[in-house]
Amino acid sequence: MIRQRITIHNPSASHDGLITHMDKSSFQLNAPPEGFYVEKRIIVPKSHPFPLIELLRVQVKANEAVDGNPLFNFPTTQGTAFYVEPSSEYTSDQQKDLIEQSQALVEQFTHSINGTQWIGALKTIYLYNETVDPELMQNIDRITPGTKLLVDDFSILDIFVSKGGMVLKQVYHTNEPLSFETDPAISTEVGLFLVDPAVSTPDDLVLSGLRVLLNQDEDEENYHKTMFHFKPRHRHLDDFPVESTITENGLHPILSTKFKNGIPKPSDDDIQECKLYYHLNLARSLIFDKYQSVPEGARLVVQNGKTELEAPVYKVHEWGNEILFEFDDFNSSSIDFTLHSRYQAPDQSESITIASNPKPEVFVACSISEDHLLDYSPLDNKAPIGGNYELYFTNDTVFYHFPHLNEGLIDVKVPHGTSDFALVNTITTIAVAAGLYIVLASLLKSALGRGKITKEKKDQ
Amino acid sequence: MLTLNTKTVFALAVLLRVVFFFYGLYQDEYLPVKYTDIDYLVFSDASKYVYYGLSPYKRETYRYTPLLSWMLIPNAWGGVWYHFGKVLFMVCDLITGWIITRLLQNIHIKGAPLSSNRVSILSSLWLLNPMVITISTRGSSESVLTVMIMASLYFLIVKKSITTSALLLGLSIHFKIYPIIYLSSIMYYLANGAHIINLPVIRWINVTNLKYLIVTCLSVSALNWLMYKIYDFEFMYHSYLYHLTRLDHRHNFSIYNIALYYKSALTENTQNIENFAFIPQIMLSAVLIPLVFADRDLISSLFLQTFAFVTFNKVMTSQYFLWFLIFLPHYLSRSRYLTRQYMWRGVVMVLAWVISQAAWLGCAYNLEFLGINAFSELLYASIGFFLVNCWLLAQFFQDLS
Repeated sequence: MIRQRITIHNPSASHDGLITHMDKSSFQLNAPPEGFYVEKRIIVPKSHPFPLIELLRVQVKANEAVDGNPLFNFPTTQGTAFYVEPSSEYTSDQQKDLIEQSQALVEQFTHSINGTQWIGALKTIYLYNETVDPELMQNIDRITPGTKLLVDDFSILDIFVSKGGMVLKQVYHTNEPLSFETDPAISTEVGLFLVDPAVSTPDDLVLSGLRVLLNQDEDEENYHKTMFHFKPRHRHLDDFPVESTITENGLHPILSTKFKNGIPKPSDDDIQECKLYYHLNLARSLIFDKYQSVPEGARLVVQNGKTELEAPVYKVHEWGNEILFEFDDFNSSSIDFTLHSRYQAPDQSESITIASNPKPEVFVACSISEDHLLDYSPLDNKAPIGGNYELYFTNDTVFYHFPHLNEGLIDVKVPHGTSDFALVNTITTIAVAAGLYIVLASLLKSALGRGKITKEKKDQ
Repeated sequence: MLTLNTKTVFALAVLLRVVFFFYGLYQDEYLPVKYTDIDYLVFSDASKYVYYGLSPYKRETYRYTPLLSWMLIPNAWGGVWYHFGKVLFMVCDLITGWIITRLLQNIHIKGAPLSSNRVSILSSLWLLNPMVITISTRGSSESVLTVMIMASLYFLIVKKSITTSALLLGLSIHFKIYPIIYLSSIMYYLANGAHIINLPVIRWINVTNLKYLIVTCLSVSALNWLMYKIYDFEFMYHSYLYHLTRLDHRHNFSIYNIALYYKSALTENTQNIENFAFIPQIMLSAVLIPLVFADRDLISSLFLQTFAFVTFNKVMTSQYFLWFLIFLPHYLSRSRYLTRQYMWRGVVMVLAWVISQAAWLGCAYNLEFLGINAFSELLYASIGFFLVNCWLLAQFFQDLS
């Protein structure tokens, strides 16, 4: 049986007047003026059919609607990400098969992303694209059967598949009324909570509200007033926004991230050691030169993907690079990251290529005491694979995020040739022939002159 | 009239290099556009790998002989030692200038040596040339090669030491493959002795040039064998094979560059002009020019060969200009373009070269730093520069005739 757990975050001060109907088969709510934040967690007892794949994680993020929400963690890069961990039977000589199976898996979801452009990321292979394909919504049942009708909004999805089954999560914001009905094929639990500001701290959020169980036995109570507290892994520095912009500099654009109100030092009770980090998925149109482009004050700790510094974009097979910088005692007002544009394929219809790239994720990561409490959080999203930068941090790490003032992707303009090869080749051939004629004619004249002089010498 | 003596030129040469070097440190520290050449970072990183017992080819884009990274190991010690390579290149640059001076002093026209003043002025074309100084103080390694080539010629012409000269030419060819084109000139230059077999062409072979050929080949082979033993196929690929197969799509002065960019984007493999680019290049630089000029004036012949080689090459950057600039003082010592009668033509030639190059640089700047689509302009600018170079080559031929 499919099970779903729906957690509704009411950001207003009270639950009063929100519940319009509640019985054993139905639960209906009106949204407060601030709207609701909803997380649906759907558990399907079915695995995937790909023998070489042990774990799969698909993360989709089409917008930033829930960024900054204290309960629901989805502070990952905008776009679509696939992570695959090979099974224990996998050996390195099966790489081609693994990629083929992974490609087939991607094609279950979408045909707009090239499923062959994987890069390595720790023990997984990783495929990323900055776009979100609307087709993915139509195909969701292929991999998580029976879930399509349960998903209300496909903007933010997190699908984790193991041999034991699948967990599909969606997170969204809505101002519309919510209604949940009994379905005999689905076990449903709905929780409505608000953060109690009187007793909550950033490192210990206290939630109060109620849980409603649909499909319960007639004689059992189906709702329970609930209060619980948890330690959030992702925390938000709402008063310290950043803005990432491109400073045009020809083929060497600078991705500049400005800290509008500086960089705070987190001071929650549970934290121990903290450092600033900068994580970026860099599209293959752009080059990161680890030898000369590491931003001032930074240390490169992760670079996955193609490191070829000279190839044009049409010779790069991987989707791009994943980069993570670490900063010690950084106190500058901005991080300036110089990129280099790869040459683009000639195109007669346009004079420039727009290379779209996601913004960097800028955060302070801290180790904490009592890290076991993170595992008790029912809302924690950390999984054995995926999660962008989460993959590179130990379990005792919490993240403080700088919100971005600017939404969407960052565009870099790259000029490209606008003629065609045949014409350029003809012009070049004519020029070489003309140059060669000038040189050979003169050389011949010199050689003949030399012969004449030699003959004259002989005659003398 | 301008009077200079060799000591003054050398003192100025050292001073200028020191000034440029320190200015480079300042620019690197305080200005957004760095003075140090990206290649210097590549060499330095490669030497760091060597210092830690690893292959220099672990550094992406290191496409040189491991010898270079060995020479720069002190760079890896850190601190002020990081600049060791630049100092080495500056010293090589000065030694090249000293050899140029010595070779100029060896020239006799109508039985008389060049005047000291003329030697100083001609050698200052290298020693006081801002382009030469900039290239070595930015950290480009060309001067290490130029010192090897000039030393080879010095031992051949001044010291009459065939073996040493051949060993040094072999070292040069190992360092960068293009000096192999000099072998035919030198062989022909040395052909004026007793021959072994009296048949056309074959009669040019004698004991002296055969010895030169064998020693050169042994020198190259020994070094390549050693490097291959240590670094395996990595060495062969990055030092040689890469240069034979490279398709440089990023803009450079070469006439073929834009065509190569367009070709690189084709999905089908098409036979085109750049596949045959080496034919006119090698025919001119390694066969025809040596046949016409090598026995008249070896160093001028090398100048023409190198000029032709660079002009018809699939890749051309400003560092390549140093390859023929080392021979320019010698060529000019006999040139009519330094006489009153032909001076204006000489001025026009220099202006044509500078203006056509500046036009290309303007287009490249628009593309590289302003992001303006200048691919078509670059195509025509590179054609202009190429045709100017061809015309210059024709003028040089007439001059030496």
